[in-house]
Amino acid sequence: MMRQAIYNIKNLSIGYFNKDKSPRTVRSSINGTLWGGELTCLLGPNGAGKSTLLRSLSGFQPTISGEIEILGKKLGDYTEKELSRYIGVVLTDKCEVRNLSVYELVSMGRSPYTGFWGKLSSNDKSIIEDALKMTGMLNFKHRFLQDLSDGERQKVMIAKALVQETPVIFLDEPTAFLDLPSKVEIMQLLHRLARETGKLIFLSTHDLDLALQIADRIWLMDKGNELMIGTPEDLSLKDHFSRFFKNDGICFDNKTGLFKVINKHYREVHVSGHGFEYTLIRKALSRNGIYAHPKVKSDLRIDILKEGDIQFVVFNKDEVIEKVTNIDDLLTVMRNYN
Amino acid sequence: MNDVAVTYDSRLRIWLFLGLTLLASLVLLMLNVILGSVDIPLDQVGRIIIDGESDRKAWTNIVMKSRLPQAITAMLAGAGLSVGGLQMQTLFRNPLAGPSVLGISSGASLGVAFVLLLSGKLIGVALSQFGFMGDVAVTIAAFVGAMSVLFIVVFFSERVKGNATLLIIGIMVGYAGAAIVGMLKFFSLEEDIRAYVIWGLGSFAKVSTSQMKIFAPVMIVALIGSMLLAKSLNLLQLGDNYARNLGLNIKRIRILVILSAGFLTATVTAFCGPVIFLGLAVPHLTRGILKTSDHRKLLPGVVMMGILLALLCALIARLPGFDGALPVNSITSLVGAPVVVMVLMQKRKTIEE
Repeated sequence: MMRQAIYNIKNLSIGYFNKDKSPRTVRSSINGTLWGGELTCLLGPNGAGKSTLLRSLSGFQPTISGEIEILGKKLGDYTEKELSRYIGVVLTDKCEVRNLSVYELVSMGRSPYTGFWGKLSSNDKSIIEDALKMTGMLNFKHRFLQDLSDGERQKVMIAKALVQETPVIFLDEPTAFLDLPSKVEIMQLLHRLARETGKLIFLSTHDLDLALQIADRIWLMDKGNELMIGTPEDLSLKDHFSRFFKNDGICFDNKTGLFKVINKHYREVHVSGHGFEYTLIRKALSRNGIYAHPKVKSDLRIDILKEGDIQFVVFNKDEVIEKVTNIDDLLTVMRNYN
Repeated sequence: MNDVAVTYDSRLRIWLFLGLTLLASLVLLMLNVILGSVDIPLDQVGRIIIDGESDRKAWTNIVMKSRLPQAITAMLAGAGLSVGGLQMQTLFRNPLAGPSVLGISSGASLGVAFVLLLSGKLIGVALSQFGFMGDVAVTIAAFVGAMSVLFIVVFFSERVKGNATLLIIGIMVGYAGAAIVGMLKFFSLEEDIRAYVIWGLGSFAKVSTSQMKIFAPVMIVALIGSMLLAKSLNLLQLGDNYARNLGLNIKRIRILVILSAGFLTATVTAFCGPVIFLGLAVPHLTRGILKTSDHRKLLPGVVMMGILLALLCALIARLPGFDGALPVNSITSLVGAPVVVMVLMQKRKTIEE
C-alpha cells in the first residue's frame, strides 16, 4: 500500500483564547506530517499540550496560528458535517448511558451517513458487523455498555470510530486506566487496523514502553524542547529519549531500546555467576540501593551455585557466612551485613 | 439466530408496551368519564358520548363540560410534561432533571403571582373573583412568565459552554422568581394568597371547552415537533464532544431541545398550574420498563406512559368520596413516588443477579 500523507501541519501554534480574545499559547512552531496506514503515538508529560494538540487537529478547538491541511484542504474549510466523515475520535469522556447496547452505540458512528431518523440501511448494518468483527466485539453486541469492562468499552468506542469510515482516527489516551493485557491488546488492535485499513491512527499515551514497541512513528512532545518526530528506533539512535527524561529517575536503556527506572546506589558488592538468576539478583539488589557487578572488589561477595537446587552463597572475606535459596532471604542477609 | 431473537425481543417489547399502555389508557379514560361525585348511569354516559345528549341536561353538561375536558387535559399535560422531562434529563445527562429544571414553571408562577397577588392591591378587587376572565388572565400571565424565563435561558445557553453551568443558571432563575413571589405574597391580601396557593397545587379542571380549542392543538403540534429531535437526542447522550464529532450542531440542538421542552412545560403550566412529579418520574419509569436509551422508542413511550399516569392521577383525584377536589400535585407525587421506587428496586435486583 502506498503511504499517503493525510495531515500536513505547518508552523502551528495551539492554545486557548482569553476572555479578551488575546491568545494564550500552549505550544508553537509545530511542524509535521501524519501518514495513512501508520500508528503514530504522541508522547509527553502532563501539561505538554498533547490533548490540546489532538483537540486542535480534530477541529474541536480553534488554533492560534499556522496551518492544518487534511488531504490538501485546510481544516477550517471543512464544515462540521464534512469533518464527521474525515475524523473519528475516541475521547477520554466516559459514556455513562444506561441501557445502551454495544450495537446501538457502534451504529451511532453511522449517523453522519444515515437520514433524519437514523434508520440503518443494509450497507450500514454490514459495516457495523465488520467493525464489531475487527475489534473482536461481535459476541458482545447485545450487551449493555454498563456491563462492560473498561477495555471492552474502549474497543466499542474504537468500533464506533471505525464505522464512521473516516481516513483519520484520533484517540486521546485510549490505554489509560486499563490493565496491562488490555493496554497491549488495544495498541496491537490499533496497529493492525492502521495496517489493514490504511487509516491514519494518532493517539496520545503515557505508556512509553508499549508505544516504543508498537508505534510506527513517535511524536515526542516535551515541555520546553522542540517537538521530535521519528520512528522509535531513529529517536533512540539520536538519543532523544534520554534527554527527554533527564533527572526524572528514568533512563533510556540503549541496549534494550526501553525505559528503565534509575535506582540510586549506596553500596557496591561483588557478584559472580551468569544466567537469568544473575540478572535478577542484580535487579533486586539495585532496587535496594546496592550496585552488584563482577568487577566490583568488596569484602562481601555473592556466588550463584547452580548444582541441583539454586543456591546463593554469601562470602565475607572468602568465608561462607550464609547460604540461601531465594532472593528475599538474600536481601535480608545483605541488610544484616551492612 | 440469537441475534434475530434479541432484535425481535426489543421490537416486541416496545410494541407490547405501546399496545398495553394504549389499552390501559382507554380503560382509564372511560373510568374518568364514568366515575365522579355525581352518579350517572352507564347507558346514559354512552348516549352522551355517542349522541351528545341524555335524559338529563345536567348529566350531559357534567360529562361534556367537566369530565371529558378534564380527562383530555390530563392526557395532554401528562404527555407534554413527560416529553419535556425526558428531553431535559437527556440534555443535562442528569436523572434529577425535570421539565421545570430550567426555572420555567417558576417563571409561570411569577407571572401568575403578579396577576393574582397584585390585582387585589391595584384595582382593589381580587382577580380571583372575576371567574372566567380571571382564569384567562391567569393562563396568559403564566404563559408570558414561563416564556420570558425560557428566552432568558436560551439567551444564556448561546453564551455558556457547559451544560452544568446552564443548569445552575436555570436553577438560579428559579430561585430569583421564588424570591419575588415571596415578596409579593408578603404584601398581599390573604384571599389572593389563597387563590395563588390553590393555583400552585395544579389542576386538570381549569381548561374550559373554549380554552381546549387552543390547548389541544398547540400541545399536539408541540408533541409531534418534539418527536423530530429523536436522532439528535440519541447522539447528545454520548456527550457533547462525541456528538459534535458525529456531525451534530450542538448549539443549535441545545436551543431546539430547550425550546421544545420549555414550550411544552410553559403551555401545560399555563393551563394546569405547575404540575410536579410526572415529568420527572415518567421518563424513569419508561426507561426502566423499555430497557433502552433509544429516543425513537423512548419518546413515544413516555407519551403513552405520561397519558396513562396522568389519567390515573386524575381519576384518583376525583374518586367518589373525595368530592372532586383533591389537588393534582398531591396525587401525582403520592401515586408516582412508590411506582418509581418499585421500578428502581426491581432494576437493582436484576443487576445483583
